[in-house]
Order: sequence, then structure tokens, then C-alpha cells
Amino acid sequence: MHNTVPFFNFLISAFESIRVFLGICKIRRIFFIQKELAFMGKRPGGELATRPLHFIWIADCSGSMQADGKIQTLNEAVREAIPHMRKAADENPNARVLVRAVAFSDEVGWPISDPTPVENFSWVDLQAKGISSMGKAFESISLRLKSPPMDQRALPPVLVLISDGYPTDDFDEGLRLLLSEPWGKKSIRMAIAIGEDADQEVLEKFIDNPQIKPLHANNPESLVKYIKWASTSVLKAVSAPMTPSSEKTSESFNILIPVPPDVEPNNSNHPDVW
Amino acid sequence: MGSSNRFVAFGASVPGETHKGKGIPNQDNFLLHPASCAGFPLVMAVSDGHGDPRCVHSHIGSRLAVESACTVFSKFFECNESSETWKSSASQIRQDLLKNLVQTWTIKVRENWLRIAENKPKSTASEDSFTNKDFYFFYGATLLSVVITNTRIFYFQLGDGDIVTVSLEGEINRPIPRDPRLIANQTTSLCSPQAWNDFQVASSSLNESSPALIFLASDGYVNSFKHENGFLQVGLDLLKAIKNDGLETVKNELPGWLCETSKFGSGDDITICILYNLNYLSRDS
Repeated sequence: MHNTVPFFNFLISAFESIRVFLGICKIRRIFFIQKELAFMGKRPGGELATRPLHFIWIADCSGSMQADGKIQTLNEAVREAIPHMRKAADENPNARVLVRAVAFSDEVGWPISDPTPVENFSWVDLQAKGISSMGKAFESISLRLKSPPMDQRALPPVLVLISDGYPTDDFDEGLRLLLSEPWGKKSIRMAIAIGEDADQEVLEKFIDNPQIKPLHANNPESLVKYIKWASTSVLKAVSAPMTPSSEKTSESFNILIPVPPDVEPNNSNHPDVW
Repeated sequence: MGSSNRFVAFGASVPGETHKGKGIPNQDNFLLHPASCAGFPLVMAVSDGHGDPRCVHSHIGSRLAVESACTVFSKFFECNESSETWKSSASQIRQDLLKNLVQTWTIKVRENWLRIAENKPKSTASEDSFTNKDFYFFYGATLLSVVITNTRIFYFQLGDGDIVTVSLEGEINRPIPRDPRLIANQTTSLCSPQAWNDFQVASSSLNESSPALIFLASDGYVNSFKHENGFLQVGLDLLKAIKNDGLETVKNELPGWLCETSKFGSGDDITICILYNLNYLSRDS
């Protein structure tokens, strides 16, 4: 019993010392944080922000996409590409990748309407039916690429069109509207043709750059591969700082688009199905 | 106010945050002439070498651009007559001056290119794809310049970047408005054919209502701010910092501020040149 009193006294003084020590640490921490804030507060100018990079999927959802599981493969391929997109975006923290998607069939809709940060982006399964209002889709995109709402300091937007057929509306007028918008004209446009029926000429007109050709996906494997490539390599090329390079590239404006992956047209494991 | 004006000019240039560790040099440059800021004409120049991967010598192109601007403008404006002639006329004079500037740059570029070509056993793959006459493109750069004579202030701009003025009362102006065509990293350039036609030019009298502070900045700066107003606020904050903390403190802190701005903003090279009218400092104090 006699021994317990000094022991308690010791504990009390130890706790007191720790409390005082923690208090000093806290004060010092506050002091340093305040000092840091005071320094940061002096940086001239307002709020800083990384540069927006808009990425838009343009998906053909006409009835023909129902055949041979094309629309399902598209849904799965984009979903599979999302983690790779995030990784590609992480490599340049000074670009803020914002993704959305437009789908066209009888009408044009934006299943993912708001520019969504890639880290929060999730794909919404698309359904196929009706005709192919591609021209209206371009018109709708042209409205979204007006400035404002486009930020003057944005990086060139990336537009990826995936289609398996012919437009059934006034494609030329829609494209004219898109390319007459400065951000539409400056966008990097890629096209993935699904199967042999896709209209090559239309896709080339959309790209409007002789050095970039439409990609032909004749089976699910190649579609997955191209979608992944468009959403990672192209994204990386647009968002990355410009590095002097001797790599094989296609010159698009001042962006060097990497050469797309090779896909064996008659791979025995994945024969042409589209 | 005239020749009683006393100015101090200084600047800083930092490599882009995303360029660090990737072997990409700082492609911006700035130059002041005379470096002491004593006497007129006083020339400030900022140049941003293109980030295009094919512009492999743009960091040299930007250095040659600021050197050319200081040489050509100081020579042209060293007599008062040039200022006055400019005021009263004459697109021809402007055209000749800017043509002279571009030609000076192209001569310097040619000399540099020949020197590189002599010393290099074999050109790089990237350069092989161009014919010799296209080598100016490898050096592509923009140019911003402000010239102070004892009666006028001249502003010159080719390509992206910003020139901003701040009055003592805190009024902010862009003597040359932003060119809406220059988006998505696209810019006019010294390497464009007849580049002198792409210059934007403005001038104003040097008098009591002249700006207290002028700054020139490469586009990595404005692209770092969420809003345009946040960028324009730089002018006010600099004016305040000079008054409160002194010129030396601002000079010393400037590189750190720019690094922070690049890191949390565009990630691009940032260069700024600041001109401060010392008359206002003494008047204010």
C-alpha cells in the first residue's frame, strides 16, 4: 500500500509530462502550419487548377449494333478500359481528365452527360435499336464544345467514335457544325469501325486528318484492344508534356498520336465475326 | 512625368513541374535590356519555345528570340524620334521594324542550325523528316515584349502568353487582348511564314496615369489558374507585395511562387518579367 502512492505520483507526473509535451508539439505544429500558410498565402494570384482534358465517347447504338453481340462487347470493352484510363491520367497529374459519353440511334442522348472526372467515371450499359443519327450526335457535341462552357485553357479534347454502319441523317451538316467550333476543330478525333459494313469514308471525314486512319475491329478481341488503346495511348499523348521523340507516331496538330496496336485480321483463335 | 521615370525590372523562369526528370529543358527565356534598367529605351522580352515534340531546339529559339527583341527594339527606339514617328504614323514603320526583328531571329537561328549541323555527324530521326529549309520550325517560339522610351510604352505580342498592366489604383488591363484563336496549345510563332504580320502591337503615352506595374508571362502561368480573374489578381498581389515586403523579397520569392504555381497548375514552364515604376514606390511611401 505504501508503495502504491509514489507509483501513482509517478504516473500522474508522467501523464502530465506527456500532456505538456504533446501540447508543445501541437503548438509547434500549429506554428509551422501557420507559417506555411502565411507563405502560401503570399503566392500571387487566385486558385490554381490543373488543365481540363475532355474525353468523349461517341457510341453508335443503332439496331445493327444488336447483331453478334456488338453492343455488349462495346459495353464490356469500355468498362474494361476505365482502370487503364485512370492509370494513364495519373501519369500526368497536371491534366484533369473529364469523361462523358454520347449515344446515337433514332435520337441522340448523353448517358453520361456531365464531364466526369475519370476517377469517378463508370460506364452505363448502352442498348441498341433504331437508326443511326450520327449527324445529330455531332451537332449535339458541337454545342457542348462551345466556349463557354469550354474552358479557354483546356487541352485539346479527345473524341472517339465507334460505329458499325452508315449514318442515316445529314452527317455532313452535323460534321460541319462540329468542325466550325474552334474546340471541335482542335479536337483529336479517332474512329473505330466495327465490322466490314462501317462507312470508311464517313469515318475518315470525321477524323479529318490524313495521317490518322479509322481502326477496323472485326472481332470482339480487336474492339477491346482498340478501345483500350484509344482511351489510354491517345489520352496520354494529349495530356503528357511534349517530349522530343523519335518514336513512330502520327502527327496530329502538335500532338503525336502513337501508332495503334497491330491486330491480326485472321487470328485463328479470334476469327472475324463482324 | 517623362524622363524622370525610374523603373526596375526583374524576372524569373522555372521549368515545368511535369518536365522535371524527363530530360525536357526549360523552353522559356526572358531578357532585360539594359540589365541595370538604367536609361531608355528599356526592353523586356519573354519567349516560350514550342512544346511540339518536333521543335527540338525551341529552348534555343526562345533564347534567340529575346536576344533579337532586345537588340532590334533598343536600337530602333534609342532616339526619341522613333517613338514620335511611331505615334504619328505609319504601318510601314511597324512593318519594317517587325520584319527586321523576325529576320534577325531567322539569321541567328540559321547560324545556330549550321553550327549544330557542322558538329553533328548525323542528324536525329526527327530532323531527318524535314528538308533543310524547314529547320526554323525546330526553333519555334513566341515573343512578348514591352519597350519603355522616355515618352511612350510599346507592347508587342506574337503567339500565346500575356501582357498585363496594373495602375496604382489597382486597375488591371491587357493592352493586347487575348487572341481567341489561340487555344488547345496552338499558337502563332516566329517560325511561321511572314511572322511579322501575326504580331499584335499597342502603345500608350508615358505619363502620370501610366501603369505602376507591367508584367509579361508565358502561357504556363495563365493556364495554371482556375479562373481568368485568379490570373489577373497576380498583378494586384505583386503590387501589394512590393509595397509591403519590398522589391528584394519579391525577387527572392518569385521562383518559389512560380514552381508552386506550375506544380499545382499547368505543369508547364513558367516565366514572368515584371516592370515596376519606382516613382510610385516613393510617392506611395
